[in-house]
Amino acid sequence: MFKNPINLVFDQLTKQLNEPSWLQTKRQQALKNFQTLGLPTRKSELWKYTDVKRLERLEDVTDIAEGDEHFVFTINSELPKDTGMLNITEVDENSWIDLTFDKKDDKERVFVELNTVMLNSGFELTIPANSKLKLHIQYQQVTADWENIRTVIHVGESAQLDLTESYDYDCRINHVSIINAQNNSRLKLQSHKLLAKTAALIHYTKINCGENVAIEQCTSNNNAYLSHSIQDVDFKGEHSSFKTASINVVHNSCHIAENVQTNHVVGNCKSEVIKRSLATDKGQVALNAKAVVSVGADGSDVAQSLKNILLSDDAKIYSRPELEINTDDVIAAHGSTIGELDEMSLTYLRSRGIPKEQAKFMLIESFLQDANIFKAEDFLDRIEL
Amino acid sequence: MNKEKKMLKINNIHAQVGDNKILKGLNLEIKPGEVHAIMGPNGAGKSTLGNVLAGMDKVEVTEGSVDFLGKDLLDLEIEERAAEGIFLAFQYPVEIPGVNNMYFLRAALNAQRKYRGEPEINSSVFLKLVREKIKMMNMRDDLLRRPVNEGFSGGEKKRNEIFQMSILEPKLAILDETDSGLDIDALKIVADGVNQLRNQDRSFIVITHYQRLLDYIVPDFVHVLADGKIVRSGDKSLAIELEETGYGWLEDGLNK
Repeated sequence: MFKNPINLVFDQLTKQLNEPSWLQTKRQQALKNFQTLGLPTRKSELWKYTDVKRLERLEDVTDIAEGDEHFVFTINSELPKDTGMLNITEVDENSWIDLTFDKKDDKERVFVELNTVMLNSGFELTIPANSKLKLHIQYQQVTADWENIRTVIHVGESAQLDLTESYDYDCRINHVSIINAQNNSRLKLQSHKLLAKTAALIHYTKINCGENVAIEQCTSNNNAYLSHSIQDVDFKGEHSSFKTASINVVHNSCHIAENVQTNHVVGNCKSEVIKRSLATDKGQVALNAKAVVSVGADGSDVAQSLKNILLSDDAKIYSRPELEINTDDVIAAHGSTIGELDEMSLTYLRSRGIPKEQAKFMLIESFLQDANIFKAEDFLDRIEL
Repeated sequence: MNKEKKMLKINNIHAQVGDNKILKGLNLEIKPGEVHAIMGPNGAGKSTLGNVLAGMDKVEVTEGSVDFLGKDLLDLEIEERAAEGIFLAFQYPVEIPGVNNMYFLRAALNAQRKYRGEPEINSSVFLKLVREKIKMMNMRDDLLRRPVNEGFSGGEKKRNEIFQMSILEPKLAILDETDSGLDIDALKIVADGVNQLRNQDRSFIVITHYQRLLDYIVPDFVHVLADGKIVRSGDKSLAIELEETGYGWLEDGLNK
């Protein structure tokens, strides 16, 4: 996708497709938008520390799912009868959600346009009111090119969703996910991005919160040549809460960028962002946590805690908490630290007979535990530390 | 006491922290079962002696040797020294957020057992051991489930050090100003804990400024450390004498 001119790739793709004309129109409009905006540069705030040219340097995909039937995503759970599930290219034109951004944010989120242009898989899932659903979705690499996936989940009033998402180890995925959480719904979201050092994952998420919604989210990011995520969370109803925690661990020359923006459009909502990151070798982590509290959104409660550890001289971590408060009655706290493993703690553990490597592991494990908000006992099992 | 065997022989140790020369030819011998008190004015090198023996990175030994039960102690890493039987009760125990006290202690005990070629201790046996020892230290059970030293009072931290010592059962325990910051009741509890661990095979180096602790942990020998060397040795009466006279006499001696 990034090695050939986009319009050539687009022509090839659209010729093969048998889909409604309105979707073709959407693709063409998105292509125009993409060509106007261009790829993000270092001047784009959310790409400031991410070299987008890494996308041109990606190695070819070698790990492609084999067999007669393989899909970009598989849902490893049985869906109840009344749950609505549609292939994304089969949705009604009226239910298609156009993601529009402020002009200044357009270029930051230009991969959303590219996702529409090249869309090849996805679904729209509607969870009825008052129901409970536990889902595990695996996103897979089934072609040698990029998989462009769009997922839309509507969580009905007072419904409960427990969603776990994971991605193929050596993937090239551009994923746009939209979650609409209606009033009184409860969401538990887990995402495992445990990727190969050659993988690339670009992920945009939009979460809309109605009234009295509670969302807890825990993400594990491990490696990838480039893993970049942007998450916009809009509070549209009062008394809602959104708590997100992420663990980011990078080795070699891997790069993880995580951006989350919570928009307190209405008052009396609570957002909490916890990030714990470790970088070693020449690994890089870039973090942005921004909370925007609009005029009149009184009673908002905002917390951001970004803690980072560098395990080598060449590793880099950029960590930026940001508050934009436009009203008076707000509780807000933010903090960011970057340091090394505490030598005194390491010495203390060793002085009791614990070997150095084991002592380091214990300190790293305890550091990352802050972000293990679901208290999963196996949360570090699959991460390369 | 086993009067024949030597446990520790410190021979002409010189040590520095950065460019600051602190120990300047210190000699000391300890036999199994003995309790040696090290006293002296601020900056004499008492804590540095403890740090040299425990293997703290910040101290550099520039000359001399330390023999511990026939092994060259200075050749061993910190964790190897611990597994060989050296235990340093820290003057300022470190808080380690996120590392549960029980998990830490079991990891430490099993690491030492592994080093010595002994089988790991299973969780039920460990739990029984911990329950037995925590009673001895008059500590609350909930401290075990909390992160190491986090949110502990000064007295609780010091008791936790002795509690760790009781679990790890070292051969040589070094108490670095364990009495500092303790009220009289906490001091008695800590001293009781130490006294219960005294036996003919285990030795102690008790570093302190005050004779008060030595009322409860009665030493076999008292040494005065000044300007990086042991300048005087005696029995418990030396500590009492120091309490009365202070260290002013050292100034005269050192200036001569």
